[in-house]
Amino acid sequence: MDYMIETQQLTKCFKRKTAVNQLNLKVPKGSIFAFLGANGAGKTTTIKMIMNIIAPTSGRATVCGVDSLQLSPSQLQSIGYVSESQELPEWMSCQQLLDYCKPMYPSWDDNFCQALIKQFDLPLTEKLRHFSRGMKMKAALICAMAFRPQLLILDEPFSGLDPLVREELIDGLLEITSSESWTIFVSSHDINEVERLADWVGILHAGEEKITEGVESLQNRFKHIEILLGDDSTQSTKLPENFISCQQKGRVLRLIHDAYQPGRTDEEIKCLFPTTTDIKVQGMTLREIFIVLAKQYRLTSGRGGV
Amino acid sequence: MNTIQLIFKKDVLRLRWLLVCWVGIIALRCVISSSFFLDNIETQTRMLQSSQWIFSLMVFMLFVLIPLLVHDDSLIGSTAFWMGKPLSRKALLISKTIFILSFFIVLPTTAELLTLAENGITAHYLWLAMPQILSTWGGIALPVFLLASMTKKFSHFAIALFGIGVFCIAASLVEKNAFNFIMSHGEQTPDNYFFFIESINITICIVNAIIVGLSALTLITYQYLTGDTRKTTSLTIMFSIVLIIVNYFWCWDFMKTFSTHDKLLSSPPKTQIQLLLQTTNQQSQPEIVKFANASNPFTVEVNYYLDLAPDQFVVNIFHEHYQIDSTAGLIPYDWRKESNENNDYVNKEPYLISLINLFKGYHVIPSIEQSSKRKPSYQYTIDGEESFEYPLAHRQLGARMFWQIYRYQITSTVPFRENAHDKFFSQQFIVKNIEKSTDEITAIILEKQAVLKYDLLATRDINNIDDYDSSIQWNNAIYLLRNNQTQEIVFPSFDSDQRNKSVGGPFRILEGRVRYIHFFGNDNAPLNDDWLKDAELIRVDAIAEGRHLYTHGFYAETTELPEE
Repeated sequence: MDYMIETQQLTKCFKRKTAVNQLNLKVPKGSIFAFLGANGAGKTTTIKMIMNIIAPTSGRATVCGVDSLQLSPSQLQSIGYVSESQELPEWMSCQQLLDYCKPMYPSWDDNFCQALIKQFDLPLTEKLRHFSRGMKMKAALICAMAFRPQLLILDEPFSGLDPLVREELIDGLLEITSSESWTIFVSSHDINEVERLADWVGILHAGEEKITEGVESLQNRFKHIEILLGDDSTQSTKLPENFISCQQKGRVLRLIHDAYQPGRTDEEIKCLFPTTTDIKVQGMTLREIFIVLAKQYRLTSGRGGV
Repeated sequence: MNTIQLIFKKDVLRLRWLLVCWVGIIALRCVISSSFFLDNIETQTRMLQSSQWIFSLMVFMLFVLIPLLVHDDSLIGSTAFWMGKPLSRKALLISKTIFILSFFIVLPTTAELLTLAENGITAHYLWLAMPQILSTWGGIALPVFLLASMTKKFSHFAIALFGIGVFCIAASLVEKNAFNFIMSHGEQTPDNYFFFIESINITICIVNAIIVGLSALTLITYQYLTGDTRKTTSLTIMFSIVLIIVNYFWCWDFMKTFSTHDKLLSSPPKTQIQLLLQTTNQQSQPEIVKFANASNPFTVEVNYYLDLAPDQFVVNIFHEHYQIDSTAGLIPYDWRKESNENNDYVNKEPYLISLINLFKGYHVIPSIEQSSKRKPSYQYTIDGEESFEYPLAHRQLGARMFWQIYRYQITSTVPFRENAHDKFFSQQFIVKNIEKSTDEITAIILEKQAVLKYDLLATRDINNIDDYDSSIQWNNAIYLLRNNQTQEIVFPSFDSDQRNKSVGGPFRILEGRVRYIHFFGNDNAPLNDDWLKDAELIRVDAIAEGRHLYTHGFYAETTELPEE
């Protein structure tokens, strides 16, 4: 598999704090990769190291096959970058901003740009300083997409936006990505924002990578399991590690399994609970999976979760 | 369009209205500095006074425009718009540098050179002036550029600037006191003091400005290419300390080499003018000027040096007693206070002796005023600058002399009537008014000249440095009346002036002056209407040939007053 972004033992320390700790990340080419983590997990720091905005303390990152520290303007011409903290030249109008960005990218597509403007419905002659937060984000997205980048990096693009604007942006991205073979790397602290978009997920907690996996694969292995027991006696069986969050109410035992395999897991359950009369398996949404994992990390590290 | 051009164009677009104001102010300064207003004294005065403010405004604008330019693509932090875009640090550096060089250094320099040219400065002197003017604007703009590149936004820039200002004031106080301490406690001789003064001249200013400008450019390049603000700050501080130390301890001796000119000595100015006008062939003799007071009689003797043979005197080359070492002229206040004498040379007020007055009889031309009111101490001033206390030992007064060597030449001859005018080199004058009374005539003359010199500490013309050609000295122009028929010459009896402020800046572009010159008639030149109808006004200018510095030229000891 080709990877658009790869990091190896990527680390960033700020004085006494380690913001990113030996991160090994692989973002497959052509994927929409959701980079999740709580506030302060190290997502923005990771992205800035990938974009060579800040230098890593140790380790390395490669972007489009090039070491991030060697990223030159020619490589950046195929990378679109939008960050919620990035400053826009507010003295410019939207049209002036686009006119300023256009000569930077040889692959700038005017027709595509116009289509994006129409889709996001932005006033071209108004100064950016008069734009709302959502409009500024749209303007930044147009600048980052109009040249059809190979890699689109979005750092918390939906942060602080109202649900309607968020939906508009996500719909817009979905529409575009359905026809383009871009790699999109989007970071967020809210799974709701990216659930519809992502086909790969990476979870960062306290600067450390916890999971990097395809959404389908995640959803295949994480399952809600409801076990109907023969009696309501309390089960004291010691459960294997894969059984998470076990709760019993009367004869019903509910748990989550993080490595479900049809048939095999059912057999395992019957061995553990001989009085089992019925097993119901339900899939989990990405959000539910994320919450379960976040709680687990919090328990293991003793730190606050999302 | 490459990225350098793209950034440049973006910056011009952003700052377009401020740039229009900037160019407008430069143009305004050129207009009011032009030779257009020569014959209108009121307008000239207002123009020249307002021009002083314009330079200050321009400097202020630099402190606003440059940070606005640099902070639009800030190097500090990680949220600037250019980060993550295909814009290299190198492109940013080149674009911003070209912008600053074009608009804030080359443009005002060109404007000033054009103004000087319009005012009569020749190409030769324009060429000499260019490094001075360039280094002025570069010495201001580039350090501001450096500071802006090390800050994220204007508020940070302003705070840093304030901090630097406080530091500079504190450092100068420490330096001054340290210097005084060293000089009062060390075995320093007068030589060192005078070399200090001698060294504070335009060459040091230009050299420093060039060094500061080039160093700032180097540090700016480092900052842009590496983004390592911490290291840039450390290097800047280190460099500043080195520059201060070099100036303090090394530049004096280095500049000393430019301070001496071996020139010949001759007789006083008035005699030489007469020689010039071929009305006399007299050579003057040495003079002895005597001081005395009741308790501490002493003499100051001025002699020509025996190593200068008379045949080395050249017609029209002569000296002028311009300045005497303070220790010679500085008669301690407590001595003067006790004296029974009270005349021009010894008085009881805590004034310094007007050194020039010691040779009053030889001076036709007013020179730099030396006397100033001081507290009773050994402090003294030269050129209006505060000096340090120099302790006297054993009542022995040491002295040295500076000989300012001038060559007088007739630069203009015009009929003596109102509105007569002339223009030569960078000088212009017009006879605005002639007021007659019984046997006195007052000529009111408007003068204007373009000069190139720093007036930070020593007003020394740039052209007076090492191999430059001599130049006309403002203070040494004399107006004489001569009758064409009788060839009688009348020297001015009294000459006062009101000086207008010149165009501002560390060097002056233009100076305006109104001179009130009084001529008294005598038996040979009655200055009546008959005499005046054939009269012409002659302007004699002193061309500075250089200076000759004698160390320990003469000394005086407190002795008994010799018998007459």
